[in-house]
Amino acid sequence: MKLIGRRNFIQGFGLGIGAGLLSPFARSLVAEAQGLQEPRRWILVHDQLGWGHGEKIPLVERWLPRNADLTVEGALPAMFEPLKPWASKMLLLDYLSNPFNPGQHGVGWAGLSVQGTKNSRAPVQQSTDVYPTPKGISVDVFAGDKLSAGRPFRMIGASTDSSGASVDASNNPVPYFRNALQMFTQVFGKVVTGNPDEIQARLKRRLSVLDLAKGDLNRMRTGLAGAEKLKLDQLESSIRALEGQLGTIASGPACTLPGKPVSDFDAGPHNGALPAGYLPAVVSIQTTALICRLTSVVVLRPTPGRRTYQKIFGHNQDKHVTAHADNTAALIKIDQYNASLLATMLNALAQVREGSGTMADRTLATWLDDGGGRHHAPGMTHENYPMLIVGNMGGALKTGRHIRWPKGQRALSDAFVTCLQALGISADTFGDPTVCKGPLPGLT
Amino acid sequence: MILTALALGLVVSGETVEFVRDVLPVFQRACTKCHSEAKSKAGLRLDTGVGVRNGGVSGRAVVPGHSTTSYLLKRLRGEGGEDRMPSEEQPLTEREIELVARWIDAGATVPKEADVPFAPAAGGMRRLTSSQYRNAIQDLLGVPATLALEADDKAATRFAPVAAYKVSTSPMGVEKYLEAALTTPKVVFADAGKREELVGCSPVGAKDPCVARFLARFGRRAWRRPVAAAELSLYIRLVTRVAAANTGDVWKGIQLAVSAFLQSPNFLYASETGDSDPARPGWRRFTGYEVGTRLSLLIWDGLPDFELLDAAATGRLSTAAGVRSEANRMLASPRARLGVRRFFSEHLDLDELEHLGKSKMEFPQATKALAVAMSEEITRVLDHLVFAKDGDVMDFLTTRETFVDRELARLYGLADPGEGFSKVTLPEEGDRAGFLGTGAFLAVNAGTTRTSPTRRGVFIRERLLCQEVPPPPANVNTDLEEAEEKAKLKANQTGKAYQRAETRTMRERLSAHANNPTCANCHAFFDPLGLALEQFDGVGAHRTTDGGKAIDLSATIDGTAFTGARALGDLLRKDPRAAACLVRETYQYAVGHAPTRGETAVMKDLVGKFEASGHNFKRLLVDVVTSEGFRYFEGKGQ
Repeated sequence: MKLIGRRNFIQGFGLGIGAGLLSPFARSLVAEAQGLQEPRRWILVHDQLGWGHGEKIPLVERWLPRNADLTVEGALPAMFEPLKPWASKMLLLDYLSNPFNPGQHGVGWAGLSVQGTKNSRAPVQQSTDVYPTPKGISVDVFAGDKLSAGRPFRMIGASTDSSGASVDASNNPVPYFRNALQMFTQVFGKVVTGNPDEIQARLKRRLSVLDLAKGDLNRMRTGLAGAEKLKLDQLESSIRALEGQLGTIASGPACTLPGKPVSDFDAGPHNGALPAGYLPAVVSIQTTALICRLTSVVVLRPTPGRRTYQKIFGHNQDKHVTAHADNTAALIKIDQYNASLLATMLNALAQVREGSGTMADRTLATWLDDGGGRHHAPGMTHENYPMLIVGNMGGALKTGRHIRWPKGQRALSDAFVTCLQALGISADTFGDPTVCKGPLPGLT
Repeated sequence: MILTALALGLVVSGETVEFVRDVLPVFQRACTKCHSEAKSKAGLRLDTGVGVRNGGVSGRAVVPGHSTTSYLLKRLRGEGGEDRMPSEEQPLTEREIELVARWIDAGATVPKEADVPFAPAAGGMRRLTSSQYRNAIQDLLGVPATLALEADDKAATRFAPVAAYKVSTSPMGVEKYLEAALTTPKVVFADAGKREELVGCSPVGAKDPCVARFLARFGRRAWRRPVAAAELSLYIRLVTRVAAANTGDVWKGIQLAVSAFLQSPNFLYASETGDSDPARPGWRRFTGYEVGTRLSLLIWDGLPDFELLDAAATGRLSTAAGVRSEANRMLASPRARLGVRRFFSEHLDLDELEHLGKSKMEFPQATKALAVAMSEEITRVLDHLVFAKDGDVMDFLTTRETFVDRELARLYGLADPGEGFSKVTLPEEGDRAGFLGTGAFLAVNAGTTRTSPTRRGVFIRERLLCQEVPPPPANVNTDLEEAEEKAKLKANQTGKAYQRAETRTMRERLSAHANNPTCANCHAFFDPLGLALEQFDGVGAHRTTDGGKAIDLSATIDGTAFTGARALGDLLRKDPRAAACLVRETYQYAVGHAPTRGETAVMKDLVGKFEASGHNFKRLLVDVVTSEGFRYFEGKGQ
């Protein structure tokens, strides 16, 4: 049954309203205060449907700058306009290949995993997209396991549709949030607000109630077997998980929560217009989660496959239809909107002091598209997956440049290794080792 | 030759072919992988004689005495332009096909299913559904729960009490329960009057005996069983500890103990362990308290009262007579309306009206208030039939007596009834009567901009006749609107003319199904039923044209020709399958599982009693709860 959910009718969003004090998690704070780990963060914007162009016209590489030195006035193309203040921290990489492409709109699971079945028939235009199974751990989860150790979330992903992209080490899909209210509750719901004494009292009350429930559960479980016992086992593990989360909360340096979304802003899987408040809301939650050290890796899949931009800038088509219609002006607007989301995150991090600089100094942002630079045009080759990196990690990366690699020489996985190393993660290869040649030269 | 035939398990010519001995083994080898209880593709089961005789969505599988005209034989031989069956196994040998043919020609006799003795189904443990949780909180505290628990209890199956046996609780679920358990009592305890009314005294300290008395009473109702002394002492200890931490404020302690009762799995889950019944060795009997819980969750959609708990304590709920007497008492209470309302909401998809999405362009009248009124109409009609008239509930398919408010009257083209709901009689000569003419049915089973004869037909087949409709093939686009969008785009690109959908009637548009062999077989089963309802648009308003053309309302159901919604309602009203289906739905909702093969006899008995009672729904509920299927479960492993 296809009904328009009630959520679609709910409007309005109040960022900043009802802000409360967030009490971050003790363990990571203590570790950081003692200098045991240097916090590094990664923002991954994983776009889809191509950094596009139209279907019929020849390839227009709209991401290409007018000057290899991105700091030169007028160098940046229109799609990056909202990120202009960050030009000196940008690296634009061109002609990275990703041979794991089963379809014509994107690579699905193989976008961040860079492994799987190689498309030996490229260039090819296939009639359908098939993303049958996860393809091995994705780079965001790989980084999250390292960077977010000791934090409540290894990675916090948000999406605008149900297309899968992230995979864990056991080859299981890692879900993204698609509902702003649910995301807020899950990310911050376990955090209590108020003064330290009141926080402690509230925590104690919750723990007492859960403790009694656990005792009741154990008595109830006696003599049960099979499915019934399993149900109570699951309930117990859920109670323990919540206890664990509550138990790690302690008073400490406070950071400010964004306002609770006033509606769900459910992002999918419906058709229709994407609610204007949805992406600003999830970006705000992700940014706060980074600032409050709830995670070190956030992933955003900002482009919905089947929802329109009617409520965002009055464009009554989705990106897919827009690309087929060769509507360059609208495509640029979509990319600019995505660029503005990334700029919002970076600007917020730049406001937070950390050590002798700001949080932005230790944050790497990577923006790429799982369909690469084209939207299934004739001759789609999967040879060019352009990537934008923002952030020089305290000078570790030589930024402000556009670099075009010789065709077919370097792979997307090489760029991922470069990112991982810039984040302080020791990795010489990522994804399919027969494709990955290691970090890209000359960037550090 | 004879030896070979015997070795192959085949009978020789001239000998009688028996279904169980000769035909069933052939089906079991080649057919039951797809056509059995577990997976009845195309609605056909070949694992039982009755299943073969019942046929599937393509109609009758066998015509007794006529193998050449039997559809089953045509498919086994690959005749008539359709794929040869079985599609996933070796084809039947000529000898096997001949055997089946001889069985059909000899009359296709099968053993009667009623011979299967009753065997109770498996027991289990269920979580309160979100509706039961809501009502239970109201029963206990007299205030509504502060948080709406959007439970996932409909994720697995459409009946929440069935899903309740399957769901597990995530950390987020625990957290939601915790927030509701903490914040709802706060509302009561913040009010001095309310809290004294709840607790029944004004305790001077944690050791005041009235604290323990309250906790024992509150716990007994919440957990639907007495709270053991050892359990109670833990809750008393919590009161003492919290009171001490709050400068002796005993109310704070009681409030938290109430929260703890609500967070306990004893409240959230109904565990069913049973006891043994000397008269029924090998079966498990639900204990008195378990039966009490089953009764109250079914009939009241909430918690037992103390009278029911007392009946459990004295053993009265261990006999059918005791259960009957309590069920009758409960049905006489106004609370029974909650239980009956909930069943029909789930049975008839009324919950869908809460988020009815209609195009504002096509259906400007489809407001939130109208959707609420549509649901209220059905509730009032059934309430009237079941409680006020205490009459034949199957009349809901044909009755012209209904209840409308101003918005609904406008939709139905009736005179303004003024404020609130009024009982009205729909015009005798009109097209609208019974459930098939209600906005609730017509609007839910339609698209956002148009009608959907397919959805309406499938609903009738599945929900009102309990027939299985196979899902559409995975690779088929079932969305007419999307298909049209693509067709428009294509026409735009190629410059060819595109005939806009609005200029074709729905019957013309759906001819895509009838003319495509992949679709036709199944769609012929349900599309015609929906096409006969085309005099009502996607929100249930009456109309006489579609796409500017007159609407053809003629159709057939299982070989009987009819015209329009009222004729279909009349046919369903007389169809014994519809009454049997309501029994099946009620039973499934009551016991929390689809009837098993072992429950065939119970179902048959219930259907017989339902017919005999003149389709009295309250009597049906009493018969269900006194049946062995409601009171016993499988004793395996006990």
